[in-house]
Amino acid sequence: MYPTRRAVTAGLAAAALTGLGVLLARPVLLYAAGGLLAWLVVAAASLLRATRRLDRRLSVDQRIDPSTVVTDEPTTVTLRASLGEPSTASLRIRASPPVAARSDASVAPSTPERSDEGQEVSRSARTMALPAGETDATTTFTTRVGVAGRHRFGEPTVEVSGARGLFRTARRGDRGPTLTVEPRAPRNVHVGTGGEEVATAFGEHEAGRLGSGLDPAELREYHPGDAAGRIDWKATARLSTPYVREFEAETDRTTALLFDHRASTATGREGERKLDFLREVALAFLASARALDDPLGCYAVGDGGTTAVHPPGTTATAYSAVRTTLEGLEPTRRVGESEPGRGHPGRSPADARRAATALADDGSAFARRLGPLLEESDPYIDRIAGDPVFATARTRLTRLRGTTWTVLLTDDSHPREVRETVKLARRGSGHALVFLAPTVLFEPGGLADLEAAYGRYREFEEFRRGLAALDRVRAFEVAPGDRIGALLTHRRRRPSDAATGTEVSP
Amino acid sequence: VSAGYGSPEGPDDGRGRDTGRALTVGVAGFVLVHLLALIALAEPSLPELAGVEALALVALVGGDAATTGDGRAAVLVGVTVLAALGAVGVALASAEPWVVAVGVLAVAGGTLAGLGWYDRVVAGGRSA
Repeated sequence: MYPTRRAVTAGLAAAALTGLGVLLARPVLLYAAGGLLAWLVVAAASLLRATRRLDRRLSVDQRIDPSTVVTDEPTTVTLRASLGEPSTASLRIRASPPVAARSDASVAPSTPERSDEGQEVSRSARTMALPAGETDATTTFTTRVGVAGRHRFGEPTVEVSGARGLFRTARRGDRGPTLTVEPRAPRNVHVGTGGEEVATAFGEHEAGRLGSGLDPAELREYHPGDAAGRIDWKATARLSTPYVREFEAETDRTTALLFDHRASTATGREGERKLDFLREVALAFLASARALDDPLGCYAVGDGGTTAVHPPGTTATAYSAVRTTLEGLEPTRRVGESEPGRGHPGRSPADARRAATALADDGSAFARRLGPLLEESDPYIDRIAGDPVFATARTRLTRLRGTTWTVLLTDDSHPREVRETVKLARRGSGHALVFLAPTVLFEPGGLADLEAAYGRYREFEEFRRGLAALDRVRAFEVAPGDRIGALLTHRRRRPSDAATGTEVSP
Repeated sequence: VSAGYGSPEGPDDGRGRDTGRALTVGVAGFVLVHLLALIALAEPSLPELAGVEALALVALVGGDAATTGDGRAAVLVGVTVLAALGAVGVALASAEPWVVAVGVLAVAGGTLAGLGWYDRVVAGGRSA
């Protein structure tokens, strides 16, 4: 229990009256002091009594909806208090959001606790009053958490003030709910054609012929010349004639991932960009290749050329290197585009090398600090002036021997180049799998006008179908499942499309 | 009642910044009556003193009732303050004024401290 300023003032007045009474030898002032102090004691005792009754009758409920969000998505917090019967004390009940919670500017009112408005749930937004005589109160506010993890709401604080405003005390309610905040990352990855999801696991394949292997395929009668070791003795005993078991032959399939991480793949919200979705597909291929011991290579292409080259390999080190590369890929900057925050175009690798050479003999602190930065100036393995994906396919993939499955992961920003690259990849007996991220399904606000978005999606679909129509080529779309679902729902609600037969269908 | 944005937050924001007056009308009246008696009555007789205290008590209890709107609480305040005044009078009859002054401050301070201790340690009260 703590005194308010009013109680402190009354106490000081009583002390002053006591001192004056002794100094002036006037007992009447001692009466005044005694009366005031008695009044304070009564006020304190009344608050304590009221608070003890509240402890038994007050119920504070703190709920969040939804309880699982991704970073920076809002969740609604509802704080509800109810009293069994009215109290003479007035209450202020304050929710205790996690430390990382921030207020929603569109919902939270003014009076932030700190000057950096919007950085913390404001005090008035999460506080509600239950005046004396009232029995119920509810407040609702919206909060966002920018840090992934499990965030536990603290106990709501119930501040109890006496009717005279002299003393106050506080209680803590029960622990609050837990808000699970997941990082922004591709979820609900849709891989399919024309909005229909494909169910086949990436990269699984059979040889299409029988031979030695591990997976049983069929039984057939024994023929002279078959090895005795291939006889299935159980089947033979069951059928009274010698039978041999055939197994599905397995082959190694060389797969080359051609990963486009140019600037256009940066479209989308953080963690949910085209690049992030394409990366998920590439990692699935990697996992499948590793499980099947297929040789897997990887070629990453940025705006300026090839950024990573991993020739096909089946060793754990090779798979691990591909994974490291895939996980570290970020969209490159367009050629000639300056680095964010810089006012001049990026330095060319040749300029950087010249500067590094000039500084090599310089022993100054400036040169020592700048030298390492210039050494890291050129991240490209091959500088390519135009159509870097096609050029990489031409210089790298054509060197591979045997039948190669080229997996091209890109978007729909460079249709002509993609088409030419696919034609190149399927030359000879090669196969091509193309995974395309439609820009319209990644742009923030891209679905605001569903009609226009659907039109753009149809253009994309025509492009994809054009690729899929090529021999030994399969083309898929890679997109957020919820967004493509919204488009398909829109399609189903448009009777005109169904009537004219222009809707997208697998 | 749907509280929240813009709802009343009581007379005190919990950090000593009262939105109301520092002293209630009742307390001000109680002190004022005693100060007037100090000026007007140099050596008050017992009936005069009783009249002054009765008037001060009415001011305090009336002001308290007006603040809380609770008649039963006002009666409790009246009885307690009356008992305190009586105790001070009895003490003054048998002890030096400074002894009475120290005793009053000690008893009141000790009682308030005891109530605060009980709230924090036994009842689970804490700082807001």
